[in-house]
Amino acid sequence: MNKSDELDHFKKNMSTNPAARAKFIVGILGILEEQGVDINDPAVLKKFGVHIEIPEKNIPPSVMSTNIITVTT
Amino acid sequence: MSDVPAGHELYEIPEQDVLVLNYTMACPLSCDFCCYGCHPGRKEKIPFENARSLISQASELTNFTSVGFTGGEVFTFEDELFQLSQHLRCLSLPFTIATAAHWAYSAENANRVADILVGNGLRRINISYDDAHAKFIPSQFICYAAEAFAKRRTPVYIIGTFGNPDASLERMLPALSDRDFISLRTKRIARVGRAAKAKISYDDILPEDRNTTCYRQIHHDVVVFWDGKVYPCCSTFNRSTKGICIGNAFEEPLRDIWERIEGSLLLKLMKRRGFEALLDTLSKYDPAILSSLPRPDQFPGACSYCNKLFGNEKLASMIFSAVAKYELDQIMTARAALVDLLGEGKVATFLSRLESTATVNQESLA
Repeated sequence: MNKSDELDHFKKNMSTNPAARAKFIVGILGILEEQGVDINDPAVLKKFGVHIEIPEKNIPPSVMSTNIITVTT
Repeated sequence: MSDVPAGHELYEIPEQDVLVLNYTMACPLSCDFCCYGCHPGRKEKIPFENARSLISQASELTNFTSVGFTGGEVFTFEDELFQLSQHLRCLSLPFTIATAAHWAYSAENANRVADILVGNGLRRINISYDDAHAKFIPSQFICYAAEAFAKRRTPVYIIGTFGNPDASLERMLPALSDRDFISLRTKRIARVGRAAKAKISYDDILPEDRNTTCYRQIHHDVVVFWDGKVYPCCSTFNRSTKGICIGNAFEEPLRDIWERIEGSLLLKLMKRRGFEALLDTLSKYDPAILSSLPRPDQFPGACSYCNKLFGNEKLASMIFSAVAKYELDQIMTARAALVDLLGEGKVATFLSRLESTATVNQESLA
């Protein structure tokens, strides 16, 4: 396969296969770490797009009894 | 899992991912707001060997730092619970339990149970008690159970769930207020399960207290039910929210299921940034979608809103389809950045490694 075919194949697989997308998203941090990239650096993570940062604001605990094991306070 | 550092207690180790075994729908009680409609006549339970296998699998995945048992009432199968707790001890994996404490009919029995479970690595016990539970369980049982665990320095959360906003556990259990290792937590009944049609008002909950983000932002509670179905949270709404079912742990390895949870940008958005951010993202990929979806501020909390979206097949399907476009977009950006960093050769090797293991292909969380 040439580069363009490979890219098409990748895109088709990713667009139709949610499990493949999940594996890619989980795997990308692993491969970056293997290559010595600092995966805790927000700038690096932003460049790779698949990381979602947590806002600094606190989440209010649920007033309702909706969690059974992890009980928010 | 990590060992307990010197000078620290088991309960001080931060929990990461938790494998939750919703062990059975059987329960000696039949509370009028039970989220799963449990009662003494129900028979469903996780087969013992499946539970044992799941615990073993969790111990091999370094991200799982705890196992949670709930139901129904897991003490309906006390012998199996004790055997599983022993298995957990052998694997150095701590655990938690949610129970109504019907077994704490005497101080002696409460102490016997606490000895076994604390000895095997119990890190916290959640005891349910409120008006509905009090119809079946005397408050003295709760005191026996709470005191047995607290004196063994194991945290006890007593969770009271009420329809009346003025009710409080402190009034029901004054003897357990302000006690070391015992925490009383008063909550409101959620309209789900047997309480789905209950007349409960949430009007007093202020907008700033209406939570529109999942309760765990980074880590996951991976909940397995008696039929193997897995949900990515321990919300009381999970079983009523078909669209968030992530697979079947009796049919595929826990590792694969965990990867689908950890690798879902949909879940990451809901958990880290909340439903407002999810709607914002969806609208970029399907501009018409917002007119079909309710607004989060019309609901008392994130779980009831999630249930509204993903409990409805049509809405869930629209969301999955928009999220697939968003994920593809992010992935193509990531791939390009990866090629810039590592070159085509290394990236091709990485991708072929991934492709050989991805098998599920339907458009849903599972």
